Amino acid sequence: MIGWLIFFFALFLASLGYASYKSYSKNRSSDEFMLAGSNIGAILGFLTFSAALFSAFTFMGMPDFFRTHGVGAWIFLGLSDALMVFFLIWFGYKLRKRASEVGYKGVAGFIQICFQNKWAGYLIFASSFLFLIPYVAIQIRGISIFLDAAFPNLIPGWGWASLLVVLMLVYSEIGGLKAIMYSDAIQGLIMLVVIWIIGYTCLQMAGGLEAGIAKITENNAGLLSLPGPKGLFSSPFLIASALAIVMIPVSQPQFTTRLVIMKDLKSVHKMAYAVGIFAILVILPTAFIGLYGAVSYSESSTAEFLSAALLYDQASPIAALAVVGLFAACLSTTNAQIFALGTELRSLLTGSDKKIMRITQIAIFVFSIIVLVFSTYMSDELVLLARVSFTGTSMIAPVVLGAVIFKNPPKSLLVLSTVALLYFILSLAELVPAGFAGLPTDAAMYLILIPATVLLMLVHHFSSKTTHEA
Amino acid sequence: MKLKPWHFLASAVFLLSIVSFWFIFQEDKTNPSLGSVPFIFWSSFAITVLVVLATFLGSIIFPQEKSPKS
Repeated sequence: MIGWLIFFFALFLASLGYASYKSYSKNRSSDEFMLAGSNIGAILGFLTFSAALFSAFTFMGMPDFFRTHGVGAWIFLGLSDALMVFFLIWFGYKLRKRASEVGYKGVAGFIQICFQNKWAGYLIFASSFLFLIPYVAIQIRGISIFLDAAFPNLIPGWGWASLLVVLMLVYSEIGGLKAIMYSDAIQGLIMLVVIWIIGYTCLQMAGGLEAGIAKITENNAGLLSLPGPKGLFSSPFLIASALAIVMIPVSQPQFTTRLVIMKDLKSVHKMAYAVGIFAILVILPTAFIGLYGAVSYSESSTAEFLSAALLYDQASPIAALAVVGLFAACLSTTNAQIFALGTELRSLLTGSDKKIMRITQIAIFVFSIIVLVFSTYMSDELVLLARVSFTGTSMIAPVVLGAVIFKNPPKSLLVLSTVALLYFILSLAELVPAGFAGLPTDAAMYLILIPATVLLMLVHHFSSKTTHEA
Repeated sequence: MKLKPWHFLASAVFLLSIVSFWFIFQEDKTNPSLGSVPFIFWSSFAITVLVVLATFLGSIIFPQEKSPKS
């Protein structure tokens, strides 16, 4: 397998090198470096959005989710992603319209201008920093666990993590966002091909769909219905997850920025349904891998199951492709998020273009080091940690939605999001009660946050109408 | 800008989501299965496909103004 691994890695690294070379320009402005010239077409847009969205947690977390919690995993990610892409049709339009009026360098700077309040920008940056760092660390942690299990004693887990971060830093610092987008396109395609090959072979090894489901009915029938054998997929959990995922383009800057820098609205809309199709295609084979896991590795640990299903039970070339595919999936999400943090910081900076670009590049390096350190201290619950990140960032959604809907958005939305964000952080630290009435924290918070946001927006809408009429 | 067809489509997707989460995705429900595929999986898969189709439709009927560009 090592021979195949070297072969596929060499191909992958060569394509990344080519992407960086094609994207490099000596006298580029910080806008060209950070926003890829704001001229991205539908195909590249769809591939970069998909690659940033589907990552190590899709590749590894979802098969494990299907294996341990059952069929509700489709609702958790598949249906939620479909609802998210539908929402993109409207949100993409409103966001681009507003960005064309006030200008766009990053979400934090955009919000600062829309609210005419510098703290609004800091709030967005703080939320991104607090929840994207653990999310990026999840990706790195995921790939390290897998590679460590796959190649014990070759290099330690932190060695794999460092390799990934160094690689990402090299090509993103050379080529900027354009290099990241080209590499995302390569990584997205690799991921799709690899996950289908593995999904298909796993389905065969499970004895086919009918035989596999029959075995599960015999051994653990709870996997075939809601809420799953461990009771995770309750209605409040699934609804709260769907809301958090639908809000991803609103509250996670790497996606918001991708919507703004696309060539035109038509490209955004084409990209939206293409991402929906991609989501179905990527998540479906993870169900087959999970089915195989439930049949053959029901009692194994996550690491044992994944290393067996993705590596040891596969033919050498497929196992080698799986390693490269996983590495690619992890890399694309990681670089999108770290680069987004750089973009957010840049949008808050003032000064000469050269100085801003230097500070941003240094910041991207510092964020990478923080992520690397953080990844060595976190737990292995990849999907659930990812969900905490989605929920955390969604607390600032009222602010972003207010900014795109209203010309003069109400400041009360800033207070609402700040309180929600603080409460969510305190509940994670177990300093305040988490949830109420039997609801998990996020579902309980949405129960307050959504009506409160709607109410504040309606009051603002009618009060500004009255003022204009007067 | 004529938004009527878009509003109709958005309302339909919203309604489909409400019906799905409140009435279709019931706990402990495995039947009617589709072949051997349990109810929750095939029904949620079918709804996902419907929502993606609605996105495709939305991309056609959503009014395209002169493209705003940052």
